[in-house]
Amino acid sequence: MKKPWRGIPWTGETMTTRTSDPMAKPPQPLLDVRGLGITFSGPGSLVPVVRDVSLTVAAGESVGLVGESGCGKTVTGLALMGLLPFRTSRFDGQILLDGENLLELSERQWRKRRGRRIGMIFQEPMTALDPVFTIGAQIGETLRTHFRIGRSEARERAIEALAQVGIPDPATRHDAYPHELSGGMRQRAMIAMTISCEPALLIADEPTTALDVTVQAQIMDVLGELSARSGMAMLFISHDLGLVSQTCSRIVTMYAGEVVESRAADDVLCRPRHPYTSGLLRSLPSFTPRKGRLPSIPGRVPRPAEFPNGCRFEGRCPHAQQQCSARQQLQPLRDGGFARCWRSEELSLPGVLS
Amino acid sequence: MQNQFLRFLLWRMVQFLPVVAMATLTIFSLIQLVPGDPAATIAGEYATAENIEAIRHSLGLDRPLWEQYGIWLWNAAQGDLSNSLLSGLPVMDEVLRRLPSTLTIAVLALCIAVIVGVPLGVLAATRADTMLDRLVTGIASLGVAVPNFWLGMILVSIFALGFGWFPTTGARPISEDFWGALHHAALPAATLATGGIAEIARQLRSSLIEVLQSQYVRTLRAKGLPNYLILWKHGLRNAALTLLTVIGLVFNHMLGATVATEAVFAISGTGSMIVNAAINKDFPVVQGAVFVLVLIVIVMNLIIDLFYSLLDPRVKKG
Amino acid sequence: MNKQEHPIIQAENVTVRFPVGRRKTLTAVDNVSISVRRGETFGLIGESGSGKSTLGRAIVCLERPTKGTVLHSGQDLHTLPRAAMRRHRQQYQIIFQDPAAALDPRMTILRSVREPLDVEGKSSLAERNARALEMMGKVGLGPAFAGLYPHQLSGGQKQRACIARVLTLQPSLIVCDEAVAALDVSIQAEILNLLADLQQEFGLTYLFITHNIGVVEHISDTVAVMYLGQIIEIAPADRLAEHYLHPYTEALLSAEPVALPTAMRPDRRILLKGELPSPMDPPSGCRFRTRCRHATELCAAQAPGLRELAPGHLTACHHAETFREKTAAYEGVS
Ligand SMILES: Nc1ncnc2c1ncn2[C@@H]1O[C@H](COP(=O)(O)OP(=O)(O)O)[C@@H](O)[C@H]1O
Ligand SMILES: Nc1ncnc2c1ncn2[C@@H]1O[C@H](COP(=O)(O)OP(=O)(O)O)[C@@H](O)[C@H]1O
Ligand code: SF4
Ligand code: SF4
Ligand SMILES: [Mg+2]
Ligand SMILES: [Mg+2]
Repeated sequence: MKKPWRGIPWTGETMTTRTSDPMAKPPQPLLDVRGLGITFSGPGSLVPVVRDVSLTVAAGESVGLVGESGCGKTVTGLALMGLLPFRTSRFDGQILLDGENLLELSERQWRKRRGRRIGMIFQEPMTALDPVFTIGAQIGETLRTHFRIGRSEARERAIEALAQVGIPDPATRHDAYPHELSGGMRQRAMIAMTISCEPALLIADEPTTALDVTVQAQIMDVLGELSARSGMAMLFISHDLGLVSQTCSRIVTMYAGEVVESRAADDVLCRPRHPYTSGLLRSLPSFTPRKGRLPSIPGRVPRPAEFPNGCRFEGRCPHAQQQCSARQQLQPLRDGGFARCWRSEELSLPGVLS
Repeated sequence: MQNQFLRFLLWRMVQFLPVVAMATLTIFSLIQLVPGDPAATIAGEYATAENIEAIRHSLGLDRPLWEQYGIWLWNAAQGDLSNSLLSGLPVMDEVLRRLPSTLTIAVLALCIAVIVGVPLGVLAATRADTMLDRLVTGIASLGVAVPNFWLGMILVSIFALGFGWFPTTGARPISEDFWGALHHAALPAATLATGGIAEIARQLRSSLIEVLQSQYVRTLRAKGLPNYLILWKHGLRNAALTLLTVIGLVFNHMLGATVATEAVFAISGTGSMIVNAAINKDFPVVQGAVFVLVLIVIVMNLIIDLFYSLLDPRVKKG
Repeated sequence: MNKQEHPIIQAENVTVRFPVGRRKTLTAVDNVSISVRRGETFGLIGESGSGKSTLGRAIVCLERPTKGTVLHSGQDLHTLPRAAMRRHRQQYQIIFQDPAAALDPRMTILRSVREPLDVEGKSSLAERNARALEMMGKVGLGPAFAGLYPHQLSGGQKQRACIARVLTLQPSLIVCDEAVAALDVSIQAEILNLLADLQQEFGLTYLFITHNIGVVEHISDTVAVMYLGQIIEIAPADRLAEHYLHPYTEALLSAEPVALPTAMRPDRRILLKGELPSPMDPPSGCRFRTRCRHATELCAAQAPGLRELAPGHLTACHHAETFREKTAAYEGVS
């Protein structure tokens, strides 16, 4: 292993604690997704893009959802928000928010929770805000949708939200149009808009992918501080394992529309239990000596129409055997996590430390 | 702020000057291409060659073309569109006398087109790819395709001759009899409007569909905003630029189409004035009337440009 | 002098300005001098807007420097007659972040790969096809891909096609402008491996532009860090991570997320305040001073020049020798 902390002094004592005591009994989770399946119906065809996704997010907890692009992370996030087109999508399983199954709600009931109980921020800060309204107007509008407040109070609270996400001179920025802000500032404004209604859960879909690392660090700082201060839980969707491991206490890995591993972050990093997670980790350049050959995962994520019947990773897995062509279930592991591979306990897969 | 706005206005007007020059030059050149000699027309059938030459000289038609154009432009800039060759009356007076009936039809047609076209477009967009959408788009394509004069005659035969709800022909001055004028203008305006309704509905539909699929509409839904707000507040506001552009084009087109419509409904507006003058080779009248219409189009575009910057914060002023 | 003795690229005091609006200019690259050795991989990192792409474009003669010169093997191509310049320029190729935009969706992969040869028009169709297929083979696209269209390929495969395309012209240097930024890590790893193989086989030189520090450290021999149009640090790649000598490099390194368990993670990260200032109106003195926590009066008054503090390691900071002690002090306190 090389250059883990890049010469920045590391003082072991002030280490941030992220993993909770594994023995403590988990309280009822805020979000409990059970066996979620999403099928899109096209003209004369049914495409099952997501199958058997189960994950939980406890109040105040940050959970990461990782996987290559095309694995179904965004679709899953949108499903949790009820933002997939109802006419052409079919759902299986349950999405329990505070014990209430969102999939049974009417569009009207769902709308009351959207933005209020669960908020979502997106990857594209450039296009995710309406270009012809000021950011203040857009935040105020959100507030007035969910609370019975007047314009002046909405303005005050919008400015307050802008201040909370670290936008300098929030009263002036309140009246700025999105195109007048930089990408980083726009993403902050987007976050301000989402947290203004104090949702219990924030779904962040690659919120920093389009931004520079320095801006990314600022945004992650804002998100971390918000969730620490207000106890807001976060489902953090990203393809960047580094980012996720920095932010989240648990990591859920998706592959080809399924959850393949779901465990405490440190466990995943040190000792992944699914060959896919291990492959993802090992292909990061930091874990290979300089100029060395980078391990990679051959092939690519199959398209939904081409999903194999057995283990969906079989075609790319270096550990595949005969039994792998049977359908794999998400199995509980000894450490309290889950993995969708029948060899998960037996294999010793390299993580970041090998 | 105020100052900046005025500067912007002035700058825009300056920018339009070349357009005016181009337009008038084009009319002028086109008229030169029309066969026939105005001097000969005025002199009458039995005039001698000297006679014609004298008339030509007095009208300045023997000067070089660019000089003729220059003189005409210079006078036009001062509000003098010279005189009709036939009647000898100032062209400006005649145009101003006839303009109100033409504008009445055109503006009324525009209003009808917007009032009917916008809801149709919104309806088609929200029900994209359903039967209703196909119906609206189908009718819209039909509306664009149908020739105006033919539609005019159909309307007349149904609503004027059949039901007798509207007068068949003629116009009332709007300054004297407001409702009468509208009553008379209704059928011609409806005729003119069909193409506009179709165009507005079509363009608004496609623009709205694009807006509704955008990332920020997804954000709006994620905020829990009700659908009617998404559609009528954010959707229309974002489609407004397209809408405005289409309205401008539709209006320009309508002004042009008044020529045929006025002929069908026997209205003595600028359209029929141009047609008559062209038949009689009364060039100053053609040129003057077209010039005024071009000015109106340009002013309309100016107004639309101003609206652009009001509607979309991204359109920089100046 | 022999051609081989010159560095393949020698940029001397290159400045690139763009006119913006009336009577204003934007200095995208400001007085940059770099020297790229034949066969090495020269990494260029920095935030977006720092002028990396513009410098890359200047190096492949897509942008003419407003001031300064870019010498290719000792020769300024802009002084050559047009035909000679075109001929020489072929040796310097560029690939971009978005392979989809670089491939015509209506052309088969074979035609896209062959296109530069078609434009050159020096050989028969059979020869051109053979050469294109050969290069496709080199990047791991077998003959089966020849008849496919871009939409039938994955992102990684499209980028391979783009690489094959520039290879047909037998370049000696390729500028990779964020060439792996849009790819998933495992695909990114494959492309990086491929680039390394091709470098071995064809003796290629790379100018590797990226904002991903992990990637640039992995494949580069030399790394240059850009900030607001200037190079603020150049170091051998293996030195940079531990021995960086500029506060901006420090901030960049610390901002990069690393996949490490809690116990091994540096517990504090340096957060840069504010945003990149506008290149139209850069700060006086050291350009980084508005965001630098080590800035002093000297930094505002005087622009630091690049100084060589270790062999091959240059930095432009007045306090290069001392700021890391202060950082350590900060970390201890907080
Ligand atoms: N509206 C849709 N209709 C059909 N398929 C879709 C739709 N949206 C996404 N998909 C498919 O679902 C899969 C998962 O996509 P996505 O959730 O965007 O992946 P990720 O966010 O992990 O990159 C992809 O194969 C994509 O092609
Ligand atoms: N053709 C151009 N005209 C005007 N400004 C430009 C042009 N190209 C780049 N710039 C500006 O130059 C600066 C550097 O851009 P660029 O070289 O693309 O940076 P990077 O690749 O590091 O993101 C930016 O501020 C950018 O806006
Ligand atoms: S089930 Fe088999 S193929 Fe699938 S991940 Fe496990 S070992 Fe690999
Ligand atoms: S010169 Fe001064 S402002 Fe610039 S990087 Fe060094 S310490 Fe910071
Ligand atoms: Mg996604
Ligand atoms: Mg760039």
